[in-house]
Amino acid sequence: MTQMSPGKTRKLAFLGLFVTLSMMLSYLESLIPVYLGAPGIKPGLANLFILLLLMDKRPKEAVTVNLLRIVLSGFLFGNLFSVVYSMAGALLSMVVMYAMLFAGRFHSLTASIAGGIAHNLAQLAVAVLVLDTDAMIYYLPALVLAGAAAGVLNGLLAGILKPYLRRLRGE
Amino acid sequence: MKRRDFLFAAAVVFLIILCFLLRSVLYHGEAVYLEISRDGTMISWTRLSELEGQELRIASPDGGYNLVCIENGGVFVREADCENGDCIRQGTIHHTGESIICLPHKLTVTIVGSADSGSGDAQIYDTIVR
Repeated sequence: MTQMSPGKTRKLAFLGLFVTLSMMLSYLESLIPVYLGAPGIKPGLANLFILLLLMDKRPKEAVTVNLLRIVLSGFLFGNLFSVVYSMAGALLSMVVMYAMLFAGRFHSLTASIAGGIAHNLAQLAVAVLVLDTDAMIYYLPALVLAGAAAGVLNGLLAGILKPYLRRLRGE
Repeated sequence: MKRRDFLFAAAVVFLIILCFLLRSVLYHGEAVYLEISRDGTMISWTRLSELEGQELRIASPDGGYNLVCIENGGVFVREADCENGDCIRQGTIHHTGESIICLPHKLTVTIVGSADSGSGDAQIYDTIVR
């Protein structure tokens, strides 16, 4: 067996921690029985960790953590639909947030808001395609508002946690 | 935070208000019909008032079902054998435009308003359901 460098081991542990934390937050959210005006509206706190990794300019790590979280959560608590649904939202929001942060040079809070909206729009698009109906368009305003609100929450939390990230990485 | 951040935030606020205004224009009028569709095809279109107090068992081609209940002008799914039960969790809908969806069964249950009663298909589907 090849020996892993200490830096690699640390990174592995760090990313494992992020996957676990984001999965736990996703799971806790799913237990809250509150219905907020449209199907699937939730704070999406798992995105907090993705945003932190993107802010740190580590898109590969962000994608890795997000994909692992979605697939593992899908197997443990969900089904194929929840995986497809989560995947669409996650991928688009990651692309939008990364572009906003580094191509658009927007503040992380602004990027987070755009990411939240993008996430919900992608999920709405999947619902419209799967159900082959435009009935869901009724929920578009509420979903955009909820996405923006979730983005504000995650953006603020990421701003608070950012300084601790370096220490956690041991750099 | 820079100027562009505030401009973006203002654009978002404007967009959200515009969306809600558009929705109130598109979906208005009293809740009159209940439309049930599967996979993009309407399978039932009936006056809500005629369904009052009823339970509709909507069978799915894969052998599954959703039990749609109509009580006091509101519509909700009481029971379903889909994997996630999201349709049950969506609660009761009352207003024009609102819908309950079941992704695993590709089912949508939508309340349609009086404004849409001009649709020529309405009568046909009304008779098919009986």
